[in-house]
Amino acid sequence: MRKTVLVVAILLLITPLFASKFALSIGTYDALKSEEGLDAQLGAFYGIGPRWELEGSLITKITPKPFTTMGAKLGVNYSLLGPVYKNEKEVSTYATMYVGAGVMGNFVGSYDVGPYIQITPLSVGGEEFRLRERTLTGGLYYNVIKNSLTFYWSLFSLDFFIK
Amino acid sequence: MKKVLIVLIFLFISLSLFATGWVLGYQVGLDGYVSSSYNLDEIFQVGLNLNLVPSKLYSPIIKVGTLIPKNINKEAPLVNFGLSSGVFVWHNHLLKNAFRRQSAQMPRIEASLILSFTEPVLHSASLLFKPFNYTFGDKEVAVGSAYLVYNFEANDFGWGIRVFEINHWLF
Repeated sequence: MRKTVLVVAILLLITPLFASKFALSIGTYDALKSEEGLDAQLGAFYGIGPRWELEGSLITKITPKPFTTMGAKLGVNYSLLGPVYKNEKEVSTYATMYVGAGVMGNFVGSYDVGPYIQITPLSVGGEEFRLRERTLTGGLYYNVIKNSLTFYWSLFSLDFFIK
Repeated sequence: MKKVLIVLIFLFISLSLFATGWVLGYQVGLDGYVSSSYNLDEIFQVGLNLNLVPSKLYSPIIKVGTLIPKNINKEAPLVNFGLSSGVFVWHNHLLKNAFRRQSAQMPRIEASLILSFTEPVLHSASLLFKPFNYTFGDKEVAVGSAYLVYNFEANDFGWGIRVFEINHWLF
């Protein structure tokens, strides 16, 4: 817990260095056959190209016992319908779709790791608009340890682009 | 019925002519509870907001909505009636420079009564504290809000978290 707070504090301190392609994010998270309760996703995005971005998120239990499970997600996302990050050649798009892939896993409560692929069918906003709302993200996670496939989703996420 | 609909449509259209502030909007939110009143799984909240005194910053807002459990087969949806009010407005808030749009932090307190859809019984009452509620004019976003819930049937208290909430004013 202390380490998590420290990591978040450092992240917030160094945020201005990467402005403004950097966004902090909060969203929902759920998976098939997951434990009862409410999970949330706290993350960060960094634009590495007009359509490409890096994603790093922590997934944790909020209720009934806060922070009793902890997972992480690290990957890349690609905007299908246009550029999201500012560039000299194209105008940023307001509404788009994303596909993404990377590695995710749990390290508190249970231990597993594996690759994932995901799609976000509707996203509005972006760097230009300082706020982005992503809805109905769905993905498949292959748990290498248990040799199983899990469907997960995030109904809604809000990304705040830092000035 | 047709006449009522036409009158309502005209009312909504004409609202903008007399507008001194936002009057009607919708709300979506996501809750998790640790209370005998609710299942432990996530609960979605959708509803309508009615601003009673649009010209006033601290105007009370009437909220009518429904609480929809994730597992709708296990637990029935509920109806909620609430009243929300801003506590104070902080224009130079800590995230001011992070938002592109003009914003203000406006913590809110919301009191609600929750009823069953199927029978006329009072299910529970709740107090929602929204310290991180940010207003952008036509939109309000709240994250990390806390609930205090009272269950009338079990006569006990519980708590909950609203991970996020979005209020969008339309008229």
